[in-house]
Amino acid sequence: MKKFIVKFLSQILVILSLLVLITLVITQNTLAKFEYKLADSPQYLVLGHSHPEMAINDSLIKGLKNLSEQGESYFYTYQKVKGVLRDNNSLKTVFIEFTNNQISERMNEWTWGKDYLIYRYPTYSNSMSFDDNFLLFKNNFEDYYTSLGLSQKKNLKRLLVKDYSQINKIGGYEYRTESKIDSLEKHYKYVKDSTISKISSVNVYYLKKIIHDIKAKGIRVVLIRSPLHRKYLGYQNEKVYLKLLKTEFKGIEYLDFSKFKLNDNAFFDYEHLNNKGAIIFSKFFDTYLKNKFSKE
Amino acid sequence: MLFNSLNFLIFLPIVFSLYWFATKGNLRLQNILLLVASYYFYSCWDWRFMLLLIFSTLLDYYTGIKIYESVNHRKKLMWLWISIGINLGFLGVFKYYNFFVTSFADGLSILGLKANFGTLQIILPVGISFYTFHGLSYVIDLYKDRIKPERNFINYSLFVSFFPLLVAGPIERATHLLPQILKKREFDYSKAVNGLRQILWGLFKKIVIADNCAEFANTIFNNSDHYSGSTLVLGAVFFALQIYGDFSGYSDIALGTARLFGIDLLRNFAFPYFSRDIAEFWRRWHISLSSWFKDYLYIPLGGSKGGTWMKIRNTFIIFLVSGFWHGANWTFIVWGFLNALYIMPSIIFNTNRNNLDIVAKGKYLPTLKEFSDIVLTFSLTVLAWIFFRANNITHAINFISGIFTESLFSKPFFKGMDGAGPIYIICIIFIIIEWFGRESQFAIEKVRLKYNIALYFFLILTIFWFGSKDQQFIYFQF
Repeated sequence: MKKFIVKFLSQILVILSLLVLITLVITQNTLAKFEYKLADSPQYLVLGHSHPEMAINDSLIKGLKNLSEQGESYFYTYQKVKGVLRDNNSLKTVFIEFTNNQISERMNEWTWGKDYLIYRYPTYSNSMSFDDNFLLFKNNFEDYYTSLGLSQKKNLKRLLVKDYSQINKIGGYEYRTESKIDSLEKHYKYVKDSTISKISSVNVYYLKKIIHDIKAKGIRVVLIRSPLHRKYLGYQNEKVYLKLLKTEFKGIEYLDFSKFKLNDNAFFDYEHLNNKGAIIFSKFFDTYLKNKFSKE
Repeated sequence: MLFNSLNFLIFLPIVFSLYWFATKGNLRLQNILLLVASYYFYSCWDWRFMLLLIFSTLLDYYTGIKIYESVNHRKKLMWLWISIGINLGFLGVFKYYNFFVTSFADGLSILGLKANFGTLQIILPVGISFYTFHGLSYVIDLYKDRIKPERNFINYSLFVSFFPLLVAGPIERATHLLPQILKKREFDYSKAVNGLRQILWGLFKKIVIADNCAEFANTIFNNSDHYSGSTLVLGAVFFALQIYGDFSGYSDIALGTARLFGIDLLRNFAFPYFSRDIAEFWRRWHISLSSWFKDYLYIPLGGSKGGTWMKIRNTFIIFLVSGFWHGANWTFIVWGFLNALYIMPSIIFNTNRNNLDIVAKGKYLPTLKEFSDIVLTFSLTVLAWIFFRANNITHAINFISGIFTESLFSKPFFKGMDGAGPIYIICIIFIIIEWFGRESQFAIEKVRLKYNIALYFFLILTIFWFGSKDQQFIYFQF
């Protein structure tokens, strides 16, 4: 029995050591080779989740790149920012979406929930520090382990086919053509949600890290809130949101476009614009950047 | 609790350690520990299923004793039918109620009659088909005086509920498993090593081969209208690999796990895809089920006695029931029927016991004839598997029709194909390993000592890399 356990443990140790070694080799190689270079050397960058992803059509705004992606928590935005800042010296200002649902504890699910972890970890694993990995590991070991294997496989493949560009894999403007407001209005029911006011300390922490890293590069940081419909249910935590803004992000520039005037047919739903709304807002934002923002 | 889950990875070493260290070789304690572990294992699926399992255990324990104690043959038979009736009754309700109701309603509508029977929202208890047949084999063996009843309830419960075989077999026999339960197990180094190797091989088959082939098989089957004949063939082959990897992988893990506790379970798969004819295939595929049907259905129906027509009739019955056992859908019945048709020539011409040894025994390669026989047999089984996998009969027929078109000779293409390259290579390596290990209980059983760690590393690495699926973010999250 003793011989069995000793032999088993020693072989497992050897195998796990080799696995760790291979993981490190692949990670180091991808870290060195993966590129975040943006085309056309933009001076403005937009980051966030689905709200700015659908609100800002960067093809209509000169010098701006939208790298927002639906379902993205600040944990993954932070990983994205590391690479983007390293490879793009042209950036002068970064706009980061900061809206009601992003302070909510639900963002934790976006960080280590199964669907999000398995989807995002392979893309950003090479940027993650030990602490970042440990956060995922301690909150969801099973899916973290799954993501680790998937990430190694994908990254090895990318190394072999020399696919080093990250830019097409980390977000961008997306649009919907329809408006669901009419059908939503028919079934509209105000539902009180007490959980939305519980703050995700992890998400807030990573937003601070993003801001810190951007500022350290001498780049201007602006928090923005994209246009929202008046019936957006996330407004339930508005007081908590505004208080957090004042206390945790005091001194950080903030632009609130949540009340930007748009007709119902410019909204996809209560919190996203459709392409019609994106065109209107993007043209406005373009003008704003040229005429007002750059002079501030 | 799945075998390929983190929970099982934690559960198994704990049970193993307690078993060999805490019980100090005491048989009673060994069996109690295994029983408690088995009930815990099963309750992780759904604690409510436990009640049914315990009821089934109590039923067969009690009726078993009654069968043995009955002096009168009629009373023996009565107790036997009580056990069979209640066991199959539960199986019928949980597994087949909705099937019968909807089939009956469909049948009436064909006759122009409208029927509106409600179906039940029944959750199928995990493993019910397996432990029901387990218990039935026990009471039938008692009735046939092959065994004496097990009066120790703990021992009998362990026979029914032993966790490695509880959810997916193999279907054990009292004559094989009970004597092992009644004997104190001593730690055996080579058995334990073999057990671990078999678990590893089973995990590789399940996680790497089956789960990855499943992804491609699902893509092709779910969109079969859009794909060429050659792609449909590929889809069917992927499914054949999926079902083999899945089922035999699970069996390997079950057998390997049992070995860690000093218990040998019945072999369930013996390299069926290397069979040279359908009869050989059915001696090598899901052996515990086919032998169960042979011993408890085919032989009581008359078996091979009574002439060729009796043999044909009994063979059809076995395969139809076997198909039905697999699931409550007409596709499984057609699958069974097709296999019965395949085996008919060998039944009629008495060639069903031609190939008893493994193909090319002692040789590296098969002869040309053996190879062509293997390919032909494999093709026939793949054709039948289409019914097994299809959503319904229409889907299966359309799938097969789609194969036999001009596009059969076109280059296969399906969504996600560019990611299939590594899987093709791994499947080929897998088939080669299976081929060279075909004379063993499982493919890597007799790998020579100096290659062991390299092989283990390769298997663990591929499990690590290919054990997770790419996630498509389809959830539009705000």
